Amino acid sequence: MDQGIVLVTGGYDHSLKFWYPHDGVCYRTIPHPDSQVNQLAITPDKRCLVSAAYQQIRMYDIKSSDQTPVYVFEGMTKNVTSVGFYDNGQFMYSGGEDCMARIWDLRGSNQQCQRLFQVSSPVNCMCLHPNQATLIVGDQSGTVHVWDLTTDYNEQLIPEPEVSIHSVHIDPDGAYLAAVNSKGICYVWSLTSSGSTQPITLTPRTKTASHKKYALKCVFSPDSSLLATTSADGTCKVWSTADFSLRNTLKREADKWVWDCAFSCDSQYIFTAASDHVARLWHVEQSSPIREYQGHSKAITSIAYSDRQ
Amino acid sequence: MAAFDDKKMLLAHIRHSFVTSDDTGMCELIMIKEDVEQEIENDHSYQKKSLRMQQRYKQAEKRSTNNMAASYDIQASPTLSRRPPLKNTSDMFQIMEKKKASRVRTVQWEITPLELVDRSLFAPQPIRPHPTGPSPLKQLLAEQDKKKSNPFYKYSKFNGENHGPASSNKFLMFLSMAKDPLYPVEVTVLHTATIQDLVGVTFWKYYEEGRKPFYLKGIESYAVMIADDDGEIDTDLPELQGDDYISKFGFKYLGIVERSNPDDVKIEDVPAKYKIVKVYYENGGFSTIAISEDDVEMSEILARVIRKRRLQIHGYELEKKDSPGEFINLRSSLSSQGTLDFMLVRNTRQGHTPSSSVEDDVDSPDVGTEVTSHLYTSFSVTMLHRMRSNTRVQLGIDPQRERVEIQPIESLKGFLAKPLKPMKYDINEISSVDILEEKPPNAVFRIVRLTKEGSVKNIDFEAPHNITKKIVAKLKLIISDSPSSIKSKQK
Repeated sequence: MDQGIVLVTGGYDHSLKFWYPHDGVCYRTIPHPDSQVNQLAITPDKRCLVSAAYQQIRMYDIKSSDQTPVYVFEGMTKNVTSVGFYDNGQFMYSGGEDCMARIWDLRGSNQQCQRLFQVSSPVNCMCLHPNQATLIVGDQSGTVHVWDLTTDYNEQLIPEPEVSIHSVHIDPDGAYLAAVNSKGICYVWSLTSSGSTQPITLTPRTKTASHKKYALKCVFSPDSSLLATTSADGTCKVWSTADFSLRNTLKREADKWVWDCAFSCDSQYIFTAASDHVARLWHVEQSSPIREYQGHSKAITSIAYSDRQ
Repeated sequence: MAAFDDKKMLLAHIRHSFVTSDDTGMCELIMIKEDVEQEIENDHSYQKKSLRMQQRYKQAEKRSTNNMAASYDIQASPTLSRRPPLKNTSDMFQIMEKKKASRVRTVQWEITPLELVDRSLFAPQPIRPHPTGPSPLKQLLAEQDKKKSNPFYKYSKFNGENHGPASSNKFLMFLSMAKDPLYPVEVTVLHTATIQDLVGVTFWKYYEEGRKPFYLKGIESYAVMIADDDGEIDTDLPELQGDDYISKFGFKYLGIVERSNPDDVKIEDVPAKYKIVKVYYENGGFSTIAISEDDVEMSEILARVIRKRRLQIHGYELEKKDSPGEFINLRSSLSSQGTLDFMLVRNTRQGHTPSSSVEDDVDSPDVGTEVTSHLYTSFSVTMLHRMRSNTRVQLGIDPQRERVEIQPIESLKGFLAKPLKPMKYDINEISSVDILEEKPPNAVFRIVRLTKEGSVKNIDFEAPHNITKKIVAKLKLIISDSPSSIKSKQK
């Protein structure tokens, strides 16, 4: 799109779809053979899209019409569940069911600086602190690992043992860490760092029973004022970070799992991906969707959106 | 060249040639016939050849002729095809896929030893302030919302204007309820659209073009029918099913009409420039003809209907729909008729041109040559039943074969409805035909039939008065001419 907007969805129908967000038209479909799409991420320069797949991470050129990936990252033995980028685009992190969190060096072909962090359970989710120096890893045993990349020091938080953590996210201001688990509980910690070289410290802030069923995703808005959580109860809830009170509930009649969500850069709009094969665009203040993106034949489990200028 | 009468030499040559130059498959046939050599050996004429030639051949044989024939390079194809095998398309695709796949670069995971990791690359960085400013999405949505004022916006996704002919179809749609029914809307629709979506896209396009809007009901109230290139909608053909995909149909010109009640198209709604004339047919259905001239002769309308229905030029007349039985003078003008609804009827008088018979028909509709004619004539009448609803039938009178045929036009509806079968009665079975009662403008007549078993059966019909008169007169004439023992029995 000429405005530099990229909206991509993927899921269980083994395809990736690119959409015009304003009119709901799908303008490109890429087959995603042999694997469902576990997560999608867009590089900071908006040139490439990566999909976390079974045993692979595939990187596609967003501008080209080629249906094959440009790069395929291999070496994982199980599903890759999480993928993301450093702000400078030089490193990519990934986590998977092989209980590993990896850092991939994208600077050249030599791969001079690749790092591995092993945990005891399959990795469900990862996120990078905005200071680019700390990785948060959530796993199936209910542990949140805080991996300081500078010192290689790590610490664990276990909000509730053996309750799988499904999503972790740090707000762009670096003030809060949110994590949601299988019981639909959303934990929020305050993050503080005494100095740039000191590791961050986490202080529990709130514990909210945000959903009745599995919580699947938590995402802070780019302006850090909102937190969105999605769940198997068919809702996406928008919370205010000022007091972590519920601001809005986005729900359709169909009680289908809402797997993923993404904010627009002005924090006014939110995209959701659901099991009813439809992705939706909502205004954070309104209770009905503005647009619907129909075309997938199975559940949409991942959505990636970028309109960052 | 002298060796061309040497069979073994030829055989060797053929075997060599097969590898490179055989398009015909003949060499292949020779190749697999293993006993060819033995046949040559046994050939007496060959044995008489000079010793010198045989020696020359044996030398050549040593140089691998036979070896070549048994070589793995030479393999007869199992099909004995007459043309060399084509390169398999799927093989080609596989090669292309491989080429594509070879462009995909694979990055294998390798861990860097911890001591070699440059940790300064992961040093904490100051948190960048979040860029403020509106999202381009907001503007795009606002622009899109403006476009959404079109009430048929949701169908715009089927608009295939930018998708090329491979995935879309182009149609010219005539909207019978629009202010300008003869000016079509050109739409390009994706193959994935159904007929109902096509209606939606057409209405969407109509609004997008800024044409004068008209009151529209829901999409479901409209039917798509086949039209001619001049905008005439063939209402006598069935409508296209709403849930069929448009890719199923190859028509270029289609019309949209209101399904529920086609009479809703009021004549006064159409600008004075156009007049919509409706011509109904005896067996149901109607055609609409748009007249753009100020006034036309009725003969022109008849000619257009005949052309449209591809009927024979002669043998048809027009009647006013509200006064059946009276043929219209085809030289009179449309404006003098006082109506725009007409009926196309068969002029059953053979050998008369419509224009010359008009005056006769109007003046004396009940006396015609067809009464005395010996040709087969048929009339559209209503068959009356006592216990059931009435049925439209075609009553055919065949004087030559001396029989009356009853052919149902429509099936019976309702409780206890048994399908009416076509019936044929011998004239000899019919004892009398009489007009029972007058129901202006119609009349009821009865055919009394004496069956072979000896029972009397009555069949009642209703038809316009003049047609009744014709039928009764004609049947009476035939009955009176026919020497019938049944009749005498009845008497």
